[in-house]
This record gives sequence, C-alpha cells and structure tokens, in this order.
Amino acid sequence: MTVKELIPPQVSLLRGEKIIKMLQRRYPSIFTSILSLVATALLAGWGSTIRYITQYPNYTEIIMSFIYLIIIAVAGFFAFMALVGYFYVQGHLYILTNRRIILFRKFITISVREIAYSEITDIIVNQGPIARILDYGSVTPLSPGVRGPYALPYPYMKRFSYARVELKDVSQPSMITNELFRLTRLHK
Amino acid sequence: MDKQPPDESTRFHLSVPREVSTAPDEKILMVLGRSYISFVTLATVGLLVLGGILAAMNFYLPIEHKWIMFPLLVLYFLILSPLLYGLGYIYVKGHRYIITNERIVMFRKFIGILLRTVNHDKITDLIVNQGPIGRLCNYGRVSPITAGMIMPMGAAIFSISGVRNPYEVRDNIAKLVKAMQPEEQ
Repeated sequence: MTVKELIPPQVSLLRGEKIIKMLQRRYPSIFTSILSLVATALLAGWGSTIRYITQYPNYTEIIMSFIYLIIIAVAGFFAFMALVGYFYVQGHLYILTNRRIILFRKFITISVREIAYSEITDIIVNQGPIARILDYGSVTPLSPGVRGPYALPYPYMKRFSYARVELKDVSQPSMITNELFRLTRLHK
Repeated sequence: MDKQPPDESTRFHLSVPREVSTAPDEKILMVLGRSYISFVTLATVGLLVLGGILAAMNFYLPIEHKWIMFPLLVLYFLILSPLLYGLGYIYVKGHRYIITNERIVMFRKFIGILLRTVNHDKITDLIVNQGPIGRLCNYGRVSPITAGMIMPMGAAIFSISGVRNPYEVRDNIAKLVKAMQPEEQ
C-alpha cells in the first residue's frame, strides 16, 4: 500500500505538499487509559461499598462474592475495551507534511485538525510512567486558536474538547518534538 | 592531534537531559535547575496547614477518641514529613530549564515526563513572581506567556519555577526575545 493510499479521503494535500512522517497512536496506550479508569472507579467506590456491605451479619461472604464480581466485571470491561480500543487506536492518524500537521481521528465521528508550523507557539510533551517504559507519549502543538487550558496534559485539568488537539500516544515523543521544532524553525 | 570541541552539555554545571536535543546552529546559552528551597517552602506551608488541622482535631476530639491522634502524629512526623522532603529532593532534581539562542525548553522528569518548548519569537509576555521566602532567598518563577499558553495556566504550570536570580533570567530571555522578534515599523 502506498503512502497516498493510506491517507484518508477527508484529508487532501496541497499542491507541492510533501508528507514527511505519518504517525499512529500506539495500541498499548489504550491499556493504560483503561487501567487508570478502572483504578479511579475502584478508588471512588470501594469505601462506600465496603461500608454498605459490613452492615450485614455475614458480610465476609458478601465481600468475597463482591470481589469475584469485581474481578469478572473488570476482566469483561478490559476485554471489551481492548477490542473496541483496537479500532479506536487504528482510527488515529497524524500526518506531518512540509507545510503543516494534520491530526485525524475516525471513530464513530470524524475530527480533523490542521495546523501550520508558523502558527505553533508552544510544543508540550507529556509521558506517564508506563509511557516512559514503552517509549510513547503525547505531543501537543499549541496555537493561538487551541490554547493551553483546552490542551493541558494534566488529567485533572483537562477540559473536554471535540477537536483532536494532540498527537496522542505516539512513539518516540522526544524525537517527534525535535522534528516539530526543526520544522517550525523553517516556517517562521 | 586536534582537540575535540567540548560537548555542549558538559559546559554547564547542570546536564542537559537526553530527551532534549538541539537543532544544528542552535546554541545552549543557559541550563538552569530548580532550587530545593522553593520546594521546601511549599512543602513546609502544606505541612504547617496539616499540623494546624491536627492540632484543631486534638482540641475538639472527645477524650475517648483521643487515641486516634497517636497514629496520626506518627504518620505526620515520622512518615509524611521525611517522605515529602525526600521525594521533593528527587522532584526538584528532575527539573531542567534550557535556554538556547532560539527557544526555552522547560523539562520535568518525575515519574512521568513533562516538557514545554517555546520559541523566543512567540513569547508575548514575561512574568516574574516571587513569594516572601523567594524574595529573601532570591528565587522565583519566570513565566513565558505566549498566545497559545495564556494566563493563568501559562504562568502557573509550565514556567521556569524556583530558579535563582529570576530577574537576571528574565533579562536574559527578554534580550533574546528582542533579538528574535522583528523590529516594529
């Protein structure tokens, strides 16, 4: 399959525009997202659930059944999300051309963001602990149109946005950042 | 035999992290780190607030529940405080601020990695903040604001935090910004 064939029909290149790099979201990143979601749900709910269960006289039995239920629910959720996540991750495509970055995501809905190198004001890289081990991370090119609070890589501050604002969980984020910096230098 | 030119990262007291690489013709002018005292101040304020809450708890708790104070005080004095100051040291050592002739790289490595790169020609404002202890100990936060990283987020999170001689750093960046940005007509 040629590079041109890999480009989705929703993305069109300009005359003389050349593709430098095509990036995709890494599949293992979906597992860290699921893990953090499950951990947050368990942390939020375990206290009140245990308190509720211990009201009953034979609560040790109920707790054991509850733990089995949790394990089955988490495993089922994990398997389901792993399958859905595969298609979700496959829907992400980031194209670095000699003129701009195109961020494309196709999963149920379609979202495309294009940003010219000359408009990039800041580049932010964010890697979690597992991402550091597996060498992937998110690179966020900020512009006056997509500002910090909408693209902050802090989970507790991140606002919901329909637009794809970052090159999410791409391989070798430091190398990508250096490449982006090199391209922004050329397009001042 | 010709002498090898010194590696850019070895010219400075602090090392440049391997995650940051410079472009051809790009020169590293400064490598700064975060001062430990800036973290100690924050941590101490947090611990004092927590200590105040514990003291209030001790005052208002009924006598039959006072036993809970012992494990809480052990946690506070023997576990939390050394852990906070110890981890804080590693946290502070993970900060690097690299100022080159073209950009500022703000790098933090602690559990994860967070990096912000901003070109001098995109900086619109430079803000310096110093707290009372920062004024005494001569450290502060220099925040380069751009159109993409606006106040207050740009000033609060992705900044050159806890750096020594913040006004000198500000002046150096301001000179670079002036040199990089086109002259007004």
